[in-house]
Amino acid sequence: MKPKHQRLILILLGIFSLSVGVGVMLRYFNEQLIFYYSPAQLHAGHVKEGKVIRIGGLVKEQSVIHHEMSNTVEFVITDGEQDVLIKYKGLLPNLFREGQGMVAQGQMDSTGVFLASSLLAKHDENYMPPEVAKTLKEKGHWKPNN
Amino acid sequence: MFLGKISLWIALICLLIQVSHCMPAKRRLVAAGAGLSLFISLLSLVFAHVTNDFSLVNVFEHSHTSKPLFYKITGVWGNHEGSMLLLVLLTAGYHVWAAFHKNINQKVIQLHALILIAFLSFLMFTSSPFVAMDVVVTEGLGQNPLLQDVGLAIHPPLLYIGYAGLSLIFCYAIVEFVENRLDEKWVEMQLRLALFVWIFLTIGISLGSWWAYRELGWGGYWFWDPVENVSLMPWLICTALIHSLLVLQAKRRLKSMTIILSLTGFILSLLGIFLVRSGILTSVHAFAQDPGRGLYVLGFIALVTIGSLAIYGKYSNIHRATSSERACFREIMILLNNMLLIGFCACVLLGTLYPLVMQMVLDESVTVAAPYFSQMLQIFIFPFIILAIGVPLVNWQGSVPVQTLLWYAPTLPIAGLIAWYNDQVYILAILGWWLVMLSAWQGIKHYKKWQRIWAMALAHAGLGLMVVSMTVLAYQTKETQVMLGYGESIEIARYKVTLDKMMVYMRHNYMLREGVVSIYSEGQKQTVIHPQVRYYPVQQQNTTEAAIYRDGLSDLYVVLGQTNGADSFGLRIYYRPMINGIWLSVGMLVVAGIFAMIRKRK
Repeated sequence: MKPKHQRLILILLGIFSLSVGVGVMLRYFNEQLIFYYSPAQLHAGHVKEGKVIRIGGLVKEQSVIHHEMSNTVEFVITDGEQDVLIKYKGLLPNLFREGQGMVAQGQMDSTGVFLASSLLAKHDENYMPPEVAKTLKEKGHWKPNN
Repeated sequence: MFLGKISLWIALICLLIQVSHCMPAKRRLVAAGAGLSLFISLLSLVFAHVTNDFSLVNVFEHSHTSKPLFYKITGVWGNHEGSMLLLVLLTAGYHVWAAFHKNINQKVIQLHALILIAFLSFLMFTSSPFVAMDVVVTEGLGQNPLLQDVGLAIHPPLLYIGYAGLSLIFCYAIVEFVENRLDEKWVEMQLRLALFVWIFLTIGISLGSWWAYRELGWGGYWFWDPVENVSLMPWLICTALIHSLLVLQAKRRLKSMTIILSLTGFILSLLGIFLVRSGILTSVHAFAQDPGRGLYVLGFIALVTIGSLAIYGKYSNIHRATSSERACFREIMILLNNMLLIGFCACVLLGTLYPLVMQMVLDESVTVAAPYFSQMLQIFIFPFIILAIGVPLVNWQGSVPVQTLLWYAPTLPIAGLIAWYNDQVYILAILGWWLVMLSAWQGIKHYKKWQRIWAMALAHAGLGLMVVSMTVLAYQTKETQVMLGYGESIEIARYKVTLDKMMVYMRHNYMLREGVVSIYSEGQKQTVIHPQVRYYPVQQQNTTEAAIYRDGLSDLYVVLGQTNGADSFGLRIYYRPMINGIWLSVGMLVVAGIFAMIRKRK
């Protein structure tokens, strides 16, 4: 085979594997994209049941119920306008407190309850996840740490 | 604080003198002046924290009289302004070193001074730690208790030593590229700089990971959190840079790649600063929101990126390939390795930047979940480890003597045996063990020769061990959650975990509820550990202190959960096999880096 043909084949092979690689990467990427909603957005929009999303807000005061038998906990997240009931199986993270911001990742079930697979309690130096702060600001409920 | 503020101005003036070339003969004095004033500035901030000087906003917002002394000091860099001051000081440290080094060109010093001025003015005009309070207070808000930990206390300085060095690598590359002085001396110096930076980046990143493992309560050590990714990317580029410099040194080729990597490392470090401080991220690691700061850094990043690309483009044609030999196998494989490192870095960059772009442009809040990154890594790790296994056996002339193959042949079956004996028969684990064995063999074979071979052998062995550990950890980890009363037990892996009793104590700035937990294996009591839940009254916050039983290379990780209020206590128990293999492999990488830096006495 002529060297020129050899090089051409090599280049084509390179482009082909690069495209396959990028394609695979983008496929994984798309699968792992998770969108964030506030309770109001959740009620307004149509989120497919079973799609993994994140939802955040303030944990509503006195809404936390522990079910010891099944090791689940229920609580309500609110953005001042709408509420969402969340069910979570497992032990609550340390930064979880009523009246504080919380982000949950999971899926909506058919009855409008959010089944959380994980609770995110990673905050910045002011103990409020930015997405939650933003939603609260928009609704006029934001009280900055003073 | 007057002294703190005025020191910053003195430093700024020194750097302006440095850039403007007014006193070139006195560059060492000027650099020392800048460095010393910045050091004094940091010291005065530390003093303010230690003496509870609440007239400074920085002290008020992040400290408290009851905070232990150690954390008062290290808390200085646990917030945006203080850590920025630390970063500027460390960058100035490199500046002083470069100014005192006679082989470094004046233009490099000037460019570096310019960069320092940009950092310093960012600090002074948008993020000064010396802003005064307008009301008088006698107590502070305290610091997030999660940050009051040894690992996290020393992680910023060590990581920043790495980050700061990237600025000098950048300047040294771009100036000498334009002046066409990329000779052997340049390669050797850049290699030592890159190794030094790489060592500290490795230490810094792993300290962060070790902290997360111990403190975040679920025994995970890497979460592909944007802040973690942003420290990983410069490390990947730095690794590629080191390999590229080695080829440049041996064969006088890969000049362009070396320069581009030198530039990219710095740009990625700037991106890191932006992401962590712009407030776009949800992370215990992120500093609070301030769009003003974010835009300034973003503008600076754009300037540096476009500027360096333009300069590279303009001057690249004066660099023709200096070697007309055909590329040898080893060189091509290292090039491939670097392309893969850059490729993986690009994957991480996409996953990290995409949410940001969505947020800023479309106002959509989106996350890229961890499996994207870990699946990408699982794909990339195969070529990396295969290259690491095969390429060191091939010499620079491109041949593999048959004797070499025969000599190294036993390593594969030995690796297989080790994996089989330890119940770790997974492809990646076997490949990892093979790499460890091969590298060890190689090190032993060349024990009399050149340190760089030991360094390579040790570093690759560390990589192999890391791959084994991560694979085994991923496949064999176990976890369980249970409510236990006094004296009750649960079994996990080969252990029996018993809750003996609970205790309550008061400490300096927190109260704690502690479980007394006994761990048995093979019928024998091995140890008693004490998982805690702490309550910090100042922040009104709970933290969990996991209790870790270290059993050789594996850990049993026990966390106290919530109680039903009466006689039943929640425990979460994780079995983490080979986790300590990860920390050990990091140690090997660091020692390898140090070996590589030691200059052979001729």
